[in-house]
Amino acid sequence: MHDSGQLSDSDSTDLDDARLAARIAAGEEAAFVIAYDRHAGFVFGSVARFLGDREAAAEVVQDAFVTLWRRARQFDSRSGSLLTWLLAIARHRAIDRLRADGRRPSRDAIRLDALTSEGGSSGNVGNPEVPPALIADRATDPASVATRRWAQSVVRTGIAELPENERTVILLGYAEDLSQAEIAERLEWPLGTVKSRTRRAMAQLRSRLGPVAELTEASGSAARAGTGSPD
Amino acid sequence: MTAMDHGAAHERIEDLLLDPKGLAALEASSAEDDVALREHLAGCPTCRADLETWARIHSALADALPGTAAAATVAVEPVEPPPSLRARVLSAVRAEAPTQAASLAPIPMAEARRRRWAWSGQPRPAWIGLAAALVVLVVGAGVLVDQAGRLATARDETQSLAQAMAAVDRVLAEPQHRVAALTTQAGAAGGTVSWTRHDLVVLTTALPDPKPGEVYRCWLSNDGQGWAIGKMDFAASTAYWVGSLDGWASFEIGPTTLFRVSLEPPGADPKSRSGPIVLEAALGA
Repeated sequence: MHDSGQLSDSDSTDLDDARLAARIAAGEEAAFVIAYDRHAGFVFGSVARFLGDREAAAEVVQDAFVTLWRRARQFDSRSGSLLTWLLAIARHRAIDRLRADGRRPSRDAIRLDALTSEGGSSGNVGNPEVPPALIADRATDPASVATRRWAQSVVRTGIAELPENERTVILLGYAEDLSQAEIAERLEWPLGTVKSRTRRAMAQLRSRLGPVAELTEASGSAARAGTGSPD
Repeated sequence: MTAMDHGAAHERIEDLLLDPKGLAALEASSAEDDVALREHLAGCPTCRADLETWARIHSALADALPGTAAAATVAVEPVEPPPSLRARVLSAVRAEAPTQAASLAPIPMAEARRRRWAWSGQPRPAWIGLAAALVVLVVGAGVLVDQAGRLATARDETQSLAQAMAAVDRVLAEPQHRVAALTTQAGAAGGTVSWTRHDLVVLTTALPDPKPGEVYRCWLSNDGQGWAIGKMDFAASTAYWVGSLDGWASFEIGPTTLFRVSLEPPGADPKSRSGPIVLEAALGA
């Protein structure tokens, strides 16, 4: 591993995913730290919501970043962003974790079969660390449960990252189905302010969520996050 | 009514996004702007793709949020990683460093592999010896050639093949690893595919060099549906493919999974197969 501190502050903000991955592949710890600081919060938030277990999520995130360190050379920016790549790895490991927990029913963790049972709107099974409302909704079969639940977890994390005012307009618009005028009235904000905050929120959500393949899967389209050695 | 240009189309799409019902209402709307937008979309794949991306995000937002603002507020509360995680991850990565450095050195890895097979008491697959010998051969060839370009090529091939061997090492180190035989269309043995839940490595000496522009493309298929996963690389007469399955979030290797290699003609679409299958392995057998 090369010495850390080789990258300046301007490097840390300017490095695009491809250059960052190339430096990580070359063994630069400083580049790895930038990638961690840039993406760990989002990946952790998504996995914690998905698993409903912060400690298990921490293990999955650690595994995902160690995988980034080992295999940064395989990252191809043409196939998606570094965040997308990390999320795909984390999702895979998180599902492994659910399967493993399913084979060990005594473990206090969420199981896919538990998510398919009827009753209630949350999949949090006996883990007090994450409030039930943070856990995504149930569906009917394990594969679609996992896909939909992952998409929900990622989207909720994307919304959680928004500044509070922007988060508020998205929640009122999408959770309560309020129009822009109704939001303006409810919050006593000028209509133009509501519109500009909504536009900014949507732009940020697109930038973070647009490339996430699971959103496409959840919408019923085939999608994948390619890795390996694409052309 | 004048035709809508890209800028106006994007502006109208952004307006529609302000209202969660806006996109859904576009199809039936008789408003002049919406009619013009529909006409523009009919002839503009770029704007259609843009609208599809927005629709996907819009649909994901609607699906992710509970139906009341109070419940949704709780659902999107920030969930921060534990402060200790950063140090744990860095510590784990630092512990990896010697392994990563070693993975670029072919000879020690070959030694490690020999030790592992000797310890396990299992017969050593012939292809491992063959591939290790090829690493040495390529290094030897690289030393002997006096042309800088050929030396650089030999070094690249050595490094690539060493990475392939490092991946083989990782796969074989996993207790749950699997190996399947590749066969040619004539039924002859043609190399191996080895894999774990996270890695997949293919090694073969059964492929002749492709002609200029041709590629050997790799495919994974389940129940008749296939995905292109990349192309075979060559080092001397060994062709190989190494990749991670981690990014294939929705792919499971099951009873019907096949790994296939096709020979694609110059200019072929990398996402769909147009050439013949030349190698195949049943991973679920």
